[in-house]
Amino acid sequence: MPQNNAGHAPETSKRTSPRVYTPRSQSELLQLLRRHPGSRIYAGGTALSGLEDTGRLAIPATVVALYGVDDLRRIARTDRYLEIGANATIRAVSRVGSNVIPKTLYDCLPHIVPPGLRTIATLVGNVCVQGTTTTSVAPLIALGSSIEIRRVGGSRWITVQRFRSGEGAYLQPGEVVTRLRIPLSPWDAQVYRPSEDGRISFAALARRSKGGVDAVRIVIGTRLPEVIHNRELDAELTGRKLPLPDRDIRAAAERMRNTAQAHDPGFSSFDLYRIERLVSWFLRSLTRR
Amino acid sequence: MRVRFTLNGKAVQVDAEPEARLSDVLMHHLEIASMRQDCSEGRCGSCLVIFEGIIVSSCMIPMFRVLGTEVVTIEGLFGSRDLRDIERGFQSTGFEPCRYCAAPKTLLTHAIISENTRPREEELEVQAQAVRCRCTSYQHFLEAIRNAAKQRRSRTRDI
Ligand SMILES: Cc1cc2nc3c(=O)[nH]c(=O)nc-3n(C[C@H](O)[C@H](O)[C@H](O)COP(=O)(O)OP(=O)(O)OC[C@H]3O[C@@H](n4cnc5c(N)ncnc54)[C@H](O)[C@@H]3O)c2cc1C
Ligand code: FES
Ligand code: FES
Repeated sequence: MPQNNAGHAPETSKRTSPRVYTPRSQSELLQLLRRHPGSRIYAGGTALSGLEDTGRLAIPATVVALYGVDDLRRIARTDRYLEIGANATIRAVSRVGSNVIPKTLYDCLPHIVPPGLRTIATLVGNVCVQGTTTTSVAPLIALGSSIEIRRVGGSRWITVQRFRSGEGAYLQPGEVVTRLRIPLSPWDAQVYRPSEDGRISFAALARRSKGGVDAVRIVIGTRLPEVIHNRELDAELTGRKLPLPDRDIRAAAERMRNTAQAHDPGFSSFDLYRIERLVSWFLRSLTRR
Repeated sequence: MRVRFTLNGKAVQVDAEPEARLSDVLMHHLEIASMRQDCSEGRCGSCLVIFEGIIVSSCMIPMFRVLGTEVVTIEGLFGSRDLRDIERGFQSTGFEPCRYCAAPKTLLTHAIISENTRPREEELEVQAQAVRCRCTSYQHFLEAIRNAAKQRRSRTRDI
């Protein structure tokens, strides 16, 4: 059965205290997860811990905490990737700096949790919260990021898009996400725009070459678990000459609006209007650059 | 469970539920006078402490996580030159936080300038929002932190 990581739905018992395991190494972590397949992973614990009416934190019955596993704190950079360990806090990631972290992700970091929690909440924990599209997911998908999933005796990499899509890719008992890998491809335009009410997060990237559009990715996070990502639209915009004619921009924005409406019929007309405006603003900005 | 940890430089031990909040234990078991808890969900920053060298909302820290760690509240700074730097920085800016937020804002300033006496502006702007306050200007608080950092630099000759 897939491990359900629904963020604020802790499986707690009000009477028994949680059983907490604190491994010191990755191998100990994997062994513990194998021995306790029903346990939940506790990274920063900021999404996992709800509030009980007794005033205590609502921690699931059995948790395996990551904070003692030092090598999961590692943030490493190669020519092609940035790799972020499952224990790296949002603050640690943002301290790597805007010259290394892709702008669309860097700009989203201050919006993930309140500042008093950035020092314990992790970026990988943000990706692993299920049941809603958390703040970092749209930029990470736009950037083509992947995660490493490990268990005793094996590991696999899958894209964040697939991990979040629910195509059977959720964690199996005994599995843990150990690393996040973000490609450091060059992009000429990168934006991240959250709506003030937190209902929409907009991430878009574009690369230009020889007066045309070489690649485009537009991803929108909503309250639903899956993001809005119209790959056909990305593909159609790719290869187009700049400046894009106004009617094409309007048509692209309208298509994104229709995709959003099909994605969530509960969107208000204001939400749909905002999506349309963000897409046209981004495409127009390519022309202006 | 029995939780032993270091509080303001002294070894302490308390019997607490593993899922009890650090903020509650500091207020009710250890009677730390400066401790306050407002939102109880990590939003407002009234309950900030320095936990293992980092500033954090203690209402989201369960006691099982506190075992063997080091916790500092504003009481841990009393009488120190570090605190004097901050007071001077606040005074020279004319910044007077109210009784409710003076402790978390002072502790936050201490955490920021202890880590870097020349905090990067973009980092500073995010961190300074850790204490929610609707009655003083945020710019004024930023200026007070910059002046506290200046005091710290001149005292430690990091000019
Ligand atoms: C006041 C408040 C405001 C918040 N605002 C936002 C917001 O605006 N946007 C937002 O996106 N989130 C928000 N959150 C939710 C949460 O704080 C963030 O999503 C945070 O990034 C979660 O990280 P964490 O390390 O605390 O994860 P945890 O709480 O430890 O874990 C989250 C989930 O992921 C699982 N998990 C964690 N790490 C792994 C791993 N390595 N492998 C497998 N599973 C794992 C856990 O079992 C759990 O189900 C908020 C929380 C609070 C308390
Ligand atoms: S009481 Fe802890 S952040 Fe509000
Ligand atoms: S809450 Fe104290 S000055 Fe605003």
